[in-house]
Amino acid sequence: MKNSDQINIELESSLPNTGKKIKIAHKATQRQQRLFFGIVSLLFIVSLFLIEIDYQVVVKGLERTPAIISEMTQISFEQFGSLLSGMLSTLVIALLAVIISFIVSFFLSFLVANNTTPNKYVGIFFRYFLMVIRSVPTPIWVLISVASLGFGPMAGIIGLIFPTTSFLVKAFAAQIEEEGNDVIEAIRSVGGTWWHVIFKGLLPVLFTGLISTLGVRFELDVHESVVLGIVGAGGIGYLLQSYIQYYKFADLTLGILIVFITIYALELLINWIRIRSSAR
Amino acid sequence: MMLGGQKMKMLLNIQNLVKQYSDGTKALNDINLQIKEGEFIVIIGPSGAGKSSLLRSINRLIEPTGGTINFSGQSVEKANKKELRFIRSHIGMIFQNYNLIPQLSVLENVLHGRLGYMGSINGIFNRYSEEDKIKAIEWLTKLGLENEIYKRADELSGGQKQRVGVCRALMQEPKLILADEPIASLDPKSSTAVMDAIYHNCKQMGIACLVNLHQVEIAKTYATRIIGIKKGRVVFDGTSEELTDSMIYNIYEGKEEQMYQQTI
Amino acid sequence: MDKGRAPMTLPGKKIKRSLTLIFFGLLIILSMKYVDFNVLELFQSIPIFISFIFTDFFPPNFSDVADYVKPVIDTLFISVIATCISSFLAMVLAFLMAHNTTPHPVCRIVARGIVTFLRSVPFLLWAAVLVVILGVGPLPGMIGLILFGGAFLARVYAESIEEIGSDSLEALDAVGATYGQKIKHAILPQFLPSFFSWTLFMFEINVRASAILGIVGAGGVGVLIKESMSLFQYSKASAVITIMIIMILMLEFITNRLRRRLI
Repeated sequence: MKNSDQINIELESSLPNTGKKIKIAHKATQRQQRLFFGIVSLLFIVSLFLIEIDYQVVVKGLERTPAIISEMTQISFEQFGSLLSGMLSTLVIALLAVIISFIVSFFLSFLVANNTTPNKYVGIFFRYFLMVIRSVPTPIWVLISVASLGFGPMAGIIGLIFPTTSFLVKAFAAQIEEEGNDVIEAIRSVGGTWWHVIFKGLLPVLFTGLISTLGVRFELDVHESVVLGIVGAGGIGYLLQSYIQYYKFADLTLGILIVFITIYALELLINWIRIRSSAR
Repeated sequence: MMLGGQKMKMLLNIQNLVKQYSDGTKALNDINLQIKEGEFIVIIGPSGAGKSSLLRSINRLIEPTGGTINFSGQSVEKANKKELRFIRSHIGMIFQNYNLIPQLSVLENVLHGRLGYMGSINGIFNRYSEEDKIKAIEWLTKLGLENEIYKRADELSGGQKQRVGVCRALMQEPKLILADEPIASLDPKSSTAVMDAIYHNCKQMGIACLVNLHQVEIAKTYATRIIGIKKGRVVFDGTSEELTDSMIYNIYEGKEEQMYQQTI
Repeated sequence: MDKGRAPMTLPGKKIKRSLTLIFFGLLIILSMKYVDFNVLELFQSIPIFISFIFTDFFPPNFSDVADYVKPVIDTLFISVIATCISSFLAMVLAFLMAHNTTPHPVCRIVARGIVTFLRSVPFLLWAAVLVVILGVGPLPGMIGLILFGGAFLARVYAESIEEIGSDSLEALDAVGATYGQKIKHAILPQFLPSFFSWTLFMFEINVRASAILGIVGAGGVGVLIKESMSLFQYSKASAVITIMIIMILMLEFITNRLRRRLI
């Protein structure tokens, strides 16, 4: 171990920035962070300047806000019944969509995952195909399905199936690829067939992960399902849209509250299920 | 530093220290301890005996439920936020898991030792003085880490990380260093390097030291005074010569295998 | 050797499993009745849907492409601004929400309440309501994104912060650091990787979201889609959708590369 004088002499000759302040940070990490924040700030300022916002309309709107808010705080329970059944429809649409998607995506995901696919090219084809499907936002799918099938829950369910399936396949395939290898090896080595690998090997191991993903997606679908109604596919969204259109703010408040409570309760329920199923 | 013959000042005075948890377990059961400036003391005992709780009560990382702790004339258990910050800046701590910030550089980790002395705003904006930075680099060089200064803390080996932890504690220019199982996760060679670093620098700077160890042999090598803790009580307080084998067995009663383990 | 067959699963478990299956079966059947869902109808509708796409949507009509440039750029700008502002607000909320960084338990409860409310309402609903108040244009959409996105980010940020081990906080406590110093030196460096990851993710979501805000009149590419679809000009709509797909895929690619370099 060196003593003070030796250290001082070495320091003065080796410090690259004598006269300036000594640096203390890890260079690469610091550079990375500065780059990220620098570019983001630049983009932000540019966007701020180039976005056109009609401030007159905004000011007019802000003037109306107090009146709207006071109307909204007078909750009326008049529409409680229809709102409740609307919410129920919304939930049901999401549920059916998720279940159908689950059945389809369960099998598709084994096709797509690179450690379980019988044919590499088929897997890749589906992977990219589903990627394109996934980049179309859900409301657009529903718009298309309403245009082709007319209004109503069926359009909503079918519209939801496409984005839900593509999401589930991506998530399931990722889980299969990440955690499936050991199990596949094990069952293969004792001579199991494809069916055995999937149903006796992978399914039990990946079960909790699959359920977890399903739960997450179901919550998301309920969100989307509420929105669907705004586009015409049944459920509570349709009612809410009409309240907005006809300025029935008191009913709207009740509707928003019902949506909030339902979704939150659902989240708690799914969390509870998730905890119970993994504790086993 | 005063040597032999003259009375050394009392630094830490612990009276009737009790720590009881809500389920009734008593981690510390009436501890009485006095420590003078510059003493190097090793605390031995099986895991769960209360060694860790004792150390963490001294700088109030754990809240005592009863008793008094007096550090350098100040009451620890009655200190308000500001006073506690002052006390803590004068007590350095070395942890079993090193407790470094992995993404920051080694130098930044060591400089954290000065935060207790800096105002909140200065500390937040990294406004360390150039003297502090030079001192930090000196410490790191003294402990053999001069090539690691600008590396990320998570790039270091266990022994190196712990030496960084030692530097951080020394940067505080403390009156007391608390080391909680500093070598429990290290191999024998790194353990020696770390124990030497702590021992020599504390002796040189007159820093009192309380080290928790469960390896009795290492305790005997470094300490002049050994304290044995069993089930929350002090059952031995004397020199390493006075620590007979039967005393050791008494302290580790029921957990004898821990005396020799290199790691727990 | 005894003759009986050993059961593969414990009897208790088997009953639980059967009950769960029966429960779900009932749930599904009741659901189908509630909305008049007919499996036959499903199988009939799918071909209609698919043939509709292939006849009416193909080939896409790119004649008005020049008009589409501005809305696309608007969409991107809305996403950038919304992501930046919401991530900033989310950080403040997250520090109040996480149990290892909250200055006071009351702060935590209030913050959690606000965040839970904001993220349990679909963002398009927020946008729709705001359009009524603030008029048509990008602003209501942006605010809707900020409200919902900020709440979503606040939650995931808070979860990441809570996952940070207490060791480093303990060390800084022992050194005598203040609350602000602890946040800056212990929490922030360990939080940054998750921050980058989630914020980039949110940006992707915001791009997709701003693309559809137009459906309720809140600006961006969605307006074009709504217009063309309500005029039954499906091939024009598919042109816009194609552009949207390309934009989203490109952004996904870029953010993936970025994410790999930052983590």
